[in-house]
Amino acid sequence: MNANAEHKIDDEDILRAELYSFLAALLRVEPQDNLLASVSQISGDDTPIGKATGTLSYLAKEMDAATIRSEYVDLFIGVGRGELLPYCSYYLTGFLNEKPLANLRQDMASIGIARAENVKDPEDHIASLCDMMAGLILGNFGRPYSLQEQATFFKKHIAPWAGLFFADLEAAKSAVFYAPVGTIGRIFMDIESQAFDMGESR
Amino acid sequence: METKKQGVKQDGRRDFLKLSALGAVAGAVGTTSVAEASEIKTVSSGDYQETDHVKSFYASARF
Repeated sequence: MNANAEHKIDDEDILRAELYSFLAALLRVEPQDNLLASVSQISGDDTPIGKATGTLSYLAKEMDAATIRSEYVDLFIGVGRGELLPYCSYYLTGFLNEKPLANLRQDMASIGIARAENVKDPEDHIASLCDMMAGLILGNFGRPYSLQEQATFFKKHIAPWAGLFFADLEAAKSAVFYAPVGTIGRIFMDIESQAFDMGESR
Repeated sequence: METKKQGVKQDGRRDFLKLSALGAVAGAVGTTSVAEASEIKTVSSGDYQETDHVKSFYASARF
């Protein structure tokens, strides 16, 4: 990757990408011990995201790792299905593997990305979408994508449903560790929407 | 009035992001993300690869 001055990424955008990657790491599979150890080291300030992060960090320290993993299974895997189905198609149509997934695959093809080998979930899983946003921001897919391009992708594949999913996660019956993950995600989605609107040229 | 309207908008956006506490947790958040494998990979030159896995997925989804 060229260190091209024209493509220097703002610090704030690097932070956005890191937060997307952080959420992806917690949501794509049951959290392993090393991830939970890292989470337990994070501290947050008095802002809403900061407080939720502090709570999450505390829980990562205090809860038994096997219990947290079991919670992940109850939330997202279950027997046949988990308590929640974190897929764009499901939130928009009530079914998995629907048109929203087809639309996403089209856009992924134009960007030049695909699902990695051995990943069983359809691509419209919240963790995959967070990985995609981080990649668009950082330029992992050939080049950094402009704010306008990021906004287009976000508004099409994430904005219509992700805030609702994270709110559901906050309130889920099985959620203890994952409740503050829901809070962080919900607030972040709101920040992203507002920030994209502020950046729009008229 | 402002000749650099776009620049002003971007400054506003950056300040908003800073104030919304994206900075509060960055350091450690950055480290947690690095080690994890992504679910997404780049495919060569934009050609979407119709692997057998993808073909059977499409077949089952009846697109």
